[in-house]
Amino acid sequence: MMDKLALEMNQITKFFPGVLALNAVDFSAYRGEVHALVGENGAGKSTLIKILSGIYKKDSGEIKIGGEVVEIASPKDARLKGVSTIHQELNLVPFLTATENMWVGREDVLKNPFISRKKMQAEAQRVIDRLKIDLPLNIPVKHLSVAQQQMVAIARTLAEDAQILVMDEPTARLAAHEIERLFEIIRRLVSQGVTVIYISHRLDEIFKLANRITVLKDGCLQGTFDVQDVKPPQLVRMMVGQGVEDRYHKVNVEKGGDLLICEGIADGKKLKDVSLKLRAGEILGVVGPVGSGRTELVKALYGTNRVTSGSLVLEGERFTPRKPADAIERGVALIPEDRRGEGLIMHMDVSENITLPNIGRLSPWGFLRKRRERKIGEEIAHQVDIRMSSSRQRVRYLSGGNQQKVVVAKWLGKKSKVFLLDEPTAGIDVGAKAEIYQLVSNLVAGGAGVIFISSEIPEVLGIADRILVMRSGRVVAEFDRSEATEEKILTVVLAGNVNVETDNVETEKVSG
Amino acid sequence: MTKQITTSFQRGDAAGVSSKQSLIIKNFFLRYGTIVALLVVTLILAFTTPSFMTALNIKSMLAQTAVLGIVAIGLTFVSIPGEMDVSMGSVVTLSGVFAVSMMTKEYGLFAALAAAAAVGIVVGSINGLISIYGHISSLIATLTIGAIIDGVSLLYTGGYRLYKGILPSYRYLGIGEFVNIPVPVIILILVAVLAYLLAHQTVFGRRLFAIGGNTDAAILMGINPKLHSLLSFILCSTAAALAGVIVTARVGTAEPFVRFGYVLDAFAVVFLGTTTSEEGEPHIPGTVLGILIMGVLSNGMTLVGVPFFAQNILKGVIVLITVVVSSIMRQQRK
Repeated sequence: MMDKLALEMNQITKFFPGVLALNAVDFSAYRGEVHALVGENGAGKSTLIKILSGIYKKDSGEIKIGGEVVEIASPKDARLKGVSTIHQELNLVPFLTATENMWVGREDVLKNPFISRKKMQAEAQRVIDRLKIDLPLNIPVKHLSVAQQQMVAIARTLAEDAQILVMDEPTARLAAHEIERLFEIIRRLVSQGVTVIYISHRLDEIFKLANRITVLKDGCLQGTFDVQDVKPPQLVRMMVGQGVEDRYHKVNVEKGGDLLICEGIADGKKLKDVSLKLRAGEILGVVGPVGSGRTELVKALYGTNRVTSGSLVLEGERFTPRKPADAIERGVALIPEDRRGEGLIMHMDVSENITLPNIGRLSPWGFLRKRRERKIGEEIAHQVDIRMSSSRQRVRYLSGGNQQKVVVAKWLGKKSKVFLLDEPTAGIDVGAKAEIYQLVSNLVAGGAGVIFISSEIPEVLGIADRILVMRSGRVVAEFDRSEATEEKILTVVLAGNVNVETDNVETEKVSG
Repeated sequence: MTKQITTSFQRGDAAGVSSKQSLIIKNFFLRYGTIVALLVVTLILAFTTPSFMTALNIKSMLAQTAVLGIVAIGLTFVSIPGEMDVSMGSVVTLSGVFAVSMMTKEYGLFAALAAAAAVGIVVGSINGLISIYGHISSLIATLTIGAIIDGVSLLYTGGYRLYKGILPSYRYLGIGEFVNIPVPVIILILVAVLAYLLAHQTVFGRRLFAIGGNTDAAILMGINPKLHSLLSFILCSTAAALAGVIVTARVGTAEPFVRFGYVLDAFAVVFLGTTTSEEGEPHIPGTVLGILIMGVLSNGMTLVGVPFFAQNILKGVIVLITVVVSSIMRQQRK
């Protein structure tokens, strides 16, 4: 069946303000093939997929589906043209059943103002039969497992008669046996002539499943290969590219004693067993794919997730945070991943945000001393160089980088000692990033310890003293700054196997 | 996301001066439209009805508004962290019933006031505990509690109104005057000042606003949103209990059957207040302004001779307009 091109994307270019996200990228997929799309974060995978699924508009280039040139105007338009996308968050309605979910938003296809349960049911059953899966159709999907929910999402795309199915990191939240079942289903779909575009960070999966692989880097096409013609290390090298420029001014700081010691901590869920040591003046980088437990690690350290086993020692004393207030009390600060959603009170001004964690101490007898408070807020704001019209400017109107500086600044007045930074540079521009790195360097120069989580490996390489790699809730590798390279780290991150020897990539990887 | 926002802002900066000016004018009206409306209504009434601008009328207008005002200020406190309380009307009735019955049993003024306060604190705690710790929407929780409280009022009185033994000192709270100012108005002013200090000058108030702005962020900053919301529920019910004292002190009876009809008005007042803040959040000065607007409107319509039922329609329309304006304003800020 792999003779006809189902999809051609030619010379696709896409600009975002200040960034060339895609530079004349060619991509094509045959009927009945699994085509893997790989690249680092920011390589342009998502942008390409979002153009295909109608979320973004391309700036130039053409898209052909089944040989015909098409313009994809919206996600709905994409679905009508046979392109369905299953995002990481599955977009199901939790309290509706599998059957109902398969019809949500498409009830009009039934051409009847009243919903015919029978017809919906019959159609759903037909799709399930085609997939040869067993799925409870009549209970709310919130009661299903993640894997089952994913089946529902796949069934939904089939009910829509999708010819091209895009899957974005579909295995990120699945267990090993569930992944096997998903692969069976994908193979069955492909044998029925469906084209699957498969995005994943896990090379072992890709080598098991894909017919062809396309590599993107920094918005450019690195090449498309048949899976037989390429080996994992080659892929890694292509994804990393050569010559990462030194954008990071690493300041060497005298390391102090152990600040924080974790011994085998777990949260009973995603965090399985993490041990680490953080010294004063040290930046500890943590990398790992989404779902590796890196966010859960900082949540456990901050008291938002309960630590169910293992022990924590902070500055030589036992540390058992049960709520954020406990962590704050002991000098732990969190700069959360979602800065708008969790880091800032958008309708308050810069100074009010900065002083908020500290407001109790600044206010004798519970009464605000507004003038003094503002003075302190302004001092800290200038210290981290927040660009604002005045300290009365509401943080809503600051740029992303300046907002992030406010989030960090909140903890400076508190004299925090351990800073947990979860993706602190996500979504901010290059200039602001450099300032955040500077800020982090200043923190450690002041004797604090920093845990720096990031999806961007070059960034971590640039700034961290040591780098931990996490997978499935565990630390699977540790690199010292002197020995770490992007290739080594990426190899561990991408490996499906926990015990991959970094020198032994070829053999270990494919077998995984 | 961030990038898109910055660029749209740059575009705004690059736009011509004239459109900038019109934006300023537009923002002014969005923010201070209610103040302007109040002025206009007041002036029209002052010039068209001679009886409006008399000391007697202004006095009675403020005294009538005091009860609504105290309820609205209480409601502002639950609104700041983003909760709601519709049981206030029932609390007004129950606190009045208990206070008067204490005097009927000749326990004295202090017992009457203590009973009212107890009603406020107990009901507020129940409201708060059920909606916060039971994870139930505060609208549903307080609606249900309100119905139960109504039942308690009826059961306690057997459906009879209470008036025996009301002390003159108690009635003073409703009909007395102090240096020519009605006592309810003095109480309202005291409540407003205390509320302003608590909401805008204390750590407690700052944290309430933080919770209302972003609960998740507030939690990560070590704030306990449950405790703060619980306290705001108690403040709200206590204000309603105080209002119950003033109502019964004014009319001299406690009537378990009479529904206190000001809850919707109180919501209207708080909504009017939100339109005067930059981000559309409830705040005490805004609520005070809303109280004045409502007072002038009710009084003015009565003076002009608008029939009682038509008054409700007019008020409803004004509330609707305010809610829509406030919502559009918030949309534009995002």
